[in-house]
Amino acid sequence: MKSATVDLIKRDEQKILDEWLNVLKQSNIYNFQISDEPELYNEIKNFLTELSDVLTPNTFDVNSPEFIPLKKMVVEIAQKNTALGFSAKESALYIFSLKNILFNLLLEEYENDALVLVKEIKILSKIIDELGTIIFDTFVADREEIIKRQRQELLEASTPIINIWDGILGVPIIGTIDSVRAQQIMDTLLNAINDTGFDVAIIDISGVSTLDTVTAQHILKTAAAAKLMGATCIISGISPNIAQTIINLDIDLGQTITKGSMSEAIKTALEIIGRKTKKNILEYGKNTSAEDRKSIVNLNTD
Amino acid sequence: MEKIPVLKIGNLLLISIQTDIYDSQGLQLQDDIANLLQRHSFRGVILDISSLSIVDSFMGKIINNIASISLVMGAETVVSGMQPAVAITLVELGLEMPNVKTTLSLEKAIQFFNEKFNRETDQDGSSQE
Repeated sequence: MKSATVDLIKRDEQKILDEWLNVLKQSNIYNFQISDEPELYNEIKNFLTELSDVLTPNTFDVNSPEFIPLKKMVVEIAQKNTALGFSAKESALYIFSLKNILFNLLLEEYENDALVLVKEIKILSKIIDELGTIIFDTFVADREEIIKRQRQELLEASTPIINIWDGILGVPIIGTIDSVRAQQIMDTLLNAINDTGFDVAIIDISGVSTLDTVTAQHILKTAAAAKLMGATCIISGISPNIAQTIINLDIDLGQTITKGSMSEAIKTALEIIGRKTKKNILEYGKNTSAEDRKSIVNLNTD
Repeated sequence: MEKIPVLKIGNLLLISIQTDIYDSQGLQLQDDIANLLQRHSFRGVILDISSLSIVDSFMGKIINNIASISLVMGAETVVSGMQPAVAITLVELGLEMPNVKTTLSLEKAIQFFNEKFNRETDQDGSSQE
């Protein structure tokens, strides 16, 4: 890049800034308020100063280390704009609107020398394009971050264990189940059974929109594991659609109890609990004689 | 190699596995139980594995074997206090043990047999009348 161009930008700084500010104000991307003006002006002034500092006849390669502060500045601007609720297009226009202004300036300066004009425009265009793509990158990265965080939050909040009754746990499942979530549901439920010592767990899948073989497998595995621990699992909230899917996919439910609605499931659970609590705990040995009680010995030794 | 103690309570056998055990210990246990069941008439076997934190396919098979052996010899087996991690492992291994009764705790296992025996006594009583 010719040093004349850099000098030109430095010389006409004020003019460029005014025009740029004007364009930004007029483009409806800013819900512009007068109080914002000095702030915005400072921001673009800093940006232009940094740009003209970096542009020397030798450095016009955007990948050179000299450009790092400028790139950082662009990232900051993009992040600020994203926080203000700008779309990707709006953020990018922020930088691209400068392009037009600079080109007009060059056009006036090199009116008589077409070759130089093309060369200079080419270099400047490359730099501004590069800065524009940084804005896009930053925008996308910010969004990705938000999506990642929300996904994590969703996962954490997704498995509430409810104490329905003394002896009955409830697990409402909402949304889709992938293997990560299924693992989490299994862990949470089994640990809850272990902690509470409750006999019945009701898994309610009325909030599960679609059931495929993998999802069904996950739920049945959880039920099987709960059974191994000695608890009974009831699957409730099986909608007509899901019932048909189960039949069509030929899913083997095995011994698992399934119910159409939560109320039916609670009814069944209460019956199971009632059956278990009819007799009181540890009656065994009440009628055995003292001699019998003494016989608790290690039989391996005889 | 230490033997796993098998305790007699009335007409029940109680085996409490307190540590992670070796395969040979498991096989020995299986033998012991079979011998005891043959010599005395026990009605039930309780296998308490609440302290067992690691289980492999072999151990799962041993538990299954003990249950089947007791069933053949006229006693029912209840596995009590299985840890969540163990349950998950067994399910992942495909060892769902459909013939084995499981309970959450030793207390509930004893309660189960208690009820079962009471029920049987009631039935005997009514049939005599």
